[in-house]
Amino acid sequence: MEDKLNIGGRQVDSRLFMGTGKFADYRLMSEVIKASKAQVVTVALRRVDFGAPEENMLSYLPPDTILMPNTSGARNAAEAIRIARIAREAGCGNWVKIEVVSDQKYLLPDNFETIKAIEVLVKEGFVVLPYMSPDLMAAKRMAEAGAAAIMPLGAPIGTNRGLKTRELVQILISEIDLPIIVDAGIGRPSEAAEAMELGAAAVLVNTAIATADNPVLMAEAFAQAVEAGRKAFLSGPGSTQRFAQASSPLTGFLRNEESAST
Amino acid sequence: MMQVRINGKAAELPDNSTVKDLLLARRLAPDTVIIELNGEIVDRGKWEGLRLSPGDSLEIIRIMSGG
Repeated sequence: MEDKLNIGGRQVDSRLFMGTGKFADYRLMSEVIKASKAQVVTVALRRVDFGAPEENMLSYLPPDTILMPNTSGARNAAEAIRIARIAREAGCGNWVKIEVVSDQKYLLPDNFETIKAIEVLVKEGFVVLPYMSPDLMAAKRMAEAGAAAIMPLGAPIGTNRGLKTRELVQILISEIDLPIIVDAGIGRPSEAAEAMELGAAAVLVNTAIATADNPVLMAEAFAQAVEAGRKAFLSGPGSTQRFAQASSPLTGFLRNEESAST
Repeated sequence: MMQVRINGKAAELPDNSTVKDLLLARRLAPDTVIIELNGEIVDRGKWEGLRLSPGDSLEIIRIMSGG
């Protein structure tokens, strides 16, 4: 069954997107990405630290990787736009995850500044995927501004708390005609499957994999959960019932008709 | 020598240094970094010929891991 995700005109093979932060080193990150089969991978931009020279992380990514640079560190639209332009210049392609955060306690995104950044960057030819607080009206404005997908959070970044925003994400899935990608907060494969069963187009996972004792095994588990959740969504789950509905025929061969009726 | 700012810190460079000279001096592979000069991205093709001036502010940025 052909079921490919399409974002900004590009076909994406895996519905598990991976963040690359928090790994002990690039070698482990590379192994984990392979195990996850993720094709879309986030990266960040930082000042060069002359005291601690770094390797080129891009050389550790599979050749068919779609890079999704984020604008982490941006506190307003102007900073996000500046980071996006630098990322494109750096050869990251034209995808960008807009992430505008000025709340340091919960790292919740600023939907208003995010909408402003989308308006500018879409006109400059970027494929824009905004990280956002799941709010229907904000998502509509983002769609109108030309976002290629909407990425609501499941729970605050790095918390591994799961799909706490389930009801709101469900509203976005039903009302917004763009891929909805649950980003942030997903802590267990079962929660990724839950998001996919709801009809999310993909999930973006980083901390849950990177902070597992065995990140490679956890990446495999997430890949399977995302696939399972997607198949469950496509298969159309049956309705729920209050009382038991027998799954086996209740043939009365253990009793004759007279005694069964008494 | 001239005074410039690199990644937010004061630095001294030989007079007439180009962007490329700076990268060589700091041992940075040119294809792994992006340069902003006074808030504007400098096109890679211009690194060799572009001479820096006293008071210039440079940002040298690289791609790193992140979520």
